Amino acid sequence: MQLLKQMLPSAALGAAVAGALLFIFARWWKKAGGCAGAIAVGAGYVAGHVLAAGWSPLPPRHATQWLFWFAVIGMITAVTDALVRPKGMVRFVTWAVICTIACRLILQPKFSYVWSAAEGWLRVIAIVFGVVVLSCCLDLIEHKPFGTATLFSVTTVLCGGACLALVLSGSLLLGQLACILTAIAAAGFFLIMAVPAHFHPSAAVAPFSLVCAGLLLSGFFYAELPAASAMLLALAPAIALLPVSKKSHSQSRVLIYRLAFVSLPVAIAVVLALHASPPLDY
Amino acid sequence: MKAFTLPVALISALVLSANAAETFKLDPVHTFVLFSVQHLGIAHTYGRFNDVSGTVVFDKDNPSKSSVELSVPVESLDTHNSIRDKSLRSPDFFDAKQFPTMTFKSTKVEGSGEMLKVSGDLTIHGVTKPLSVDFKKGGEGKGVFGEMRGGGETHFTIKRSDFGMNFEQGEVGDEVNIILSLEGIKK
Repeated sequence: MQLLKQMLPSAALGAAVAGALLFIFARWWKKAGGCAGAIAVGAGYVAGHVLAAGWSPLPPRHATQWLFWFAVIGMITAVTDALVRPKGMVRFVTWAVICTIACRLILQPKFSYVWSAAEGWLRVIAIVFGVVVLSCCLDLIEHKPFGTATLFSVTTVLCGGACLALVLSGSLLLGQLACILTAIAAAGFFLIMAVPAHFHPSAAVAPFSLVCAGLLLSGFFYAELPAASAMLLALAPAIALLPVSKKSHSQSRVLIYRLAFVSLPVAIAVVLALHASPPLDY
Repeated sequence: MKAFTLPVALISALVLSANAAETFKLDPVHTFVLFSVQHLGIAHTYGRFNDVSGTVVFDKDNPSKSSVELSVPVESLDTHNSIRDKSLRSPDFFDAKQFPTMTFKSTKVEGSGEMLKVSGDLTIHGVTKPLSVDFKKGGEGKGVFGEMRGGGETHFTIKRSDFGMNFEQGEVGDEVNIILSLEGIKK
């Protein structure tokens, strides 16, 4: 109960800011709808992060503070992408470079204390590959035939699982930050489902995937999130891409199937984190 | 004869002054870093760091020439509860993997006799702040292997928020009481 009391205010603020922005875009600023999702998710996370962990200086002093700037970077990237509309390869390479820089920055303490430059860069390249796969899967989910409702529902399950796994890994703060993303995704999903004619928040993938990857990396490298849990959570969206026969099912049933697909690796990740956590001594 | 007197006196003075400053290497078995912090405003929770290393240079005749250097690995934190230890080592508080050591390096030692005022720089969680403590000098004596030992103790309070540890303010008190009890072996 105490845990919920601690997590709810920042999650509620994040969801309220994201929801309010989505409403503003849907009602008064439809022209900017192409990047409404990015702005709503980015601004919602920034607001929740400030309430949970305070303002982050630039440059940040530690990894958790980078998550705040990852949301901002993700938001700016997505807005630029929506405005410039670069070619597929340019878009992909730019995103890979941004992910590489983000991973290098959040893993700076490892470069300082543990890894040699060569070892560190090898690890960064492997991690960037995973982050790019995560964002490509979310990007595919966002686009047809899956749609934004599927993206927001998948990210709700993914971030919810990350929240539980991170709390079990010893960091309430990282869990609280994942809870903010969960609440934002859930708010977006609720608005899309409630008023499908008005809400089409697109371009939310960049801030979602950058912050989510940052949380998983922080959990694994700086808390005690098991490697298997981190990998399962990062690769869970790929499972949502499994083909579901649409002929025999309604749209909502297809969505439920996809959610069931994603829930499986997420649930295993949470169970693994639970198994790795020490027993309650009191 | 006079020609020799001055150099001999100078050399003697140098040797004596060099001998006056004694260097002690901290004995981690008999050195303690204990802390307490308020929990939910109800009672204090106690913990310790099980690993400490460092050097104390002590000049009896001229304490201002004394110095202290301490290093404490954050991973050695122990509050007798593995879940709490995990949380304290995580990014919520000490962030042990990003900031693996806490250090203290003196910049000034004042006073004489049993009480010394030691000022220096305390670094926790990557933040360095000046700290001034009253250090009560303990005794000196021989250990079981005939080694010369010396030590002392200080009690002081810091605010964790000064070191960028702001998580769970309210549930966990901001003020942290620290007891530092040092015992060193003369080199």
